[in-house]
Amino acid sequence: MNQATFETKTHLRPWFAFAVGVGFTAALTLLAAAPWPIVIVGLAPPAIAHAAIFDLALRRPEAMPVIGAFMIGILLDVVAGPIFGLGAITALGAHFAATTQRRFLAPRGLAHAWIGLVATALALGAGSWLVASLYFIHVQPLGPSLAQVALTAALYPPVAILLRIARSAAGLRNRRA
Amino acid sequence: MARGPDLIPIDDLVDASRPIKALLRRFAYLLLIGVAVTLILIGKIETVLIERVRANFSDVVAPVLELLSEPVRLARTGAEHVVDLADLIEENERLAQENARLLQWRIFAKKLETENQSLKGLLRFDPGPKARFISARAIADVGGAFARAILLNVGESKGVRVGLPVMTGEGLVGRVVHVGARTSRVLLLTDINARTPVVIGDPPVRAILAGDNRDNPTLKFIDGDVTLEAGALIVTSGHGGVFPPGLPVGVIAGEVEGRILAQTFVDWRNLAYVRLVDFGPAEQPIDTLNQPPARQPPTGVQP
Repeated sequence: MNQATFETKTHLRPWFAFAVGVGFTAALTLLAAAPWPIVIVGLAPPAIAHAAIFDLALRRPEAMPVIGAFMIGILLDVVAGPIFGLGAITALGAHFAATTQRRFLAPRGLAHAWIGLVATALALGAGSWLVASLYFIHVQPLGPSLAQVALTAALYPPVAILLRIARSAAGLRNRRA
Repeated sequence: MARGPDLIPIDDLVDASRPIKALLRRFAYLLLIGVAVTLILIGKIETVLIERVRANFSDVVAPVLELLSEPVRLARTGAEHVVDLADLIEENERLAQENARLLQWRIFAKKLETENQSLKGLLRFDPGPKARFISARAIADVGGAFARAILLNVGESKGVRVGLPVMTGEGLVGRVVHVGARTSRVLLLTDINARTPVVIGDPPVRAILAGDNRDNPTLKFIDGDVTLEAGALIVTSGHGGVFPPGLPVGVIAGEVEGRILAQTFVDWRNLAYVRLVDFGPAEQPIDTLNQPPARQPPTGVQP
């Protein structure tokens, strides 16, 4: 199919973007669930799904609509996590943070997006810690949550670059706010 | 000729749906957060239902998880080989010393074996059914920040059932809590919901090993007013029928802020392969409350 033919089918483009964005994030979520030898205290895997949702909602909202973030959250809950539903809430939180900050962050580079992601990951980590402590009626150790935030922050740049490559391979350009 | 009903033009329908779409878009977050909160409540009330959903889904994605965990396994093995090569000379010296010590132990063990056989013969001792082992690979870390659990690539089709102890060569890992057709979920000893009846040291002292999502679980409800020394061996007691008696768990690490911590034998960061141990049918309760505690393996015996 040549470029001209593809451009004429504009009604398919949101669905295509949705399939690429959510499909790629789902694959990253499953990859993150593999038994990596985590060397940081607490065995907490990084929240790759949150990083991907944040980046896509920021750069290409069509590829990660709110329902897509919810679906990824449910996937997180089904694959892992002791509290069914918490993954969906945190995924929606990552999407909400990116959507509300898009006007400011989208025109800027990776460094600004990275700062936004760190702030979001910290807020989501604190929120999850609070919900988990209330759910189990037991104060949860802070170490694993902090380790998860640190790992997520460290892995955001490669995830963002990977998503950029995937978007450009699928012919989806970044959208300016 | 009868006329059919008047058809509403498609443009009118599209126009009519616009306010609904706008409303949904506006309240999408609230709506979906409401659904998620409802799921949390359902998960709290209907644990079995949620775990059944998880087990079925794990069976579906198991091939994908196995495929994705393969490069992780290869990378881990490669890194271990590099470290092994770097430590080759040192490791060789250590193994030579260990071999010399084990040869002394072998003579001692032979003597004990002969003595054991003759005593068993005198007592007409019935050792009971032999344990059955199922080897498995961890294909996913399904814990997250608030739980400690792994997903294994074996399920009901391989004879796995709920409650089976899971071990590595070093010691006890945890137990199977949910089983699908091709996968099973293991709750680790360090999980906040894990409670393992154990005995410590010699003379044996009963206690409960309680996980709290940290690497070192805590010893609680220690029987009697005793002083426990760091390094004392911890094994399962068999009480409550959760685990059979005598499975090695770890040693006492020390006391931190009034909590007695255990150092498990298992390295939680390298759980690639495990063994599920089937000691017999689950229906058969293990009543060890009125039995003497299990004999422990020697810790500091000099041959």
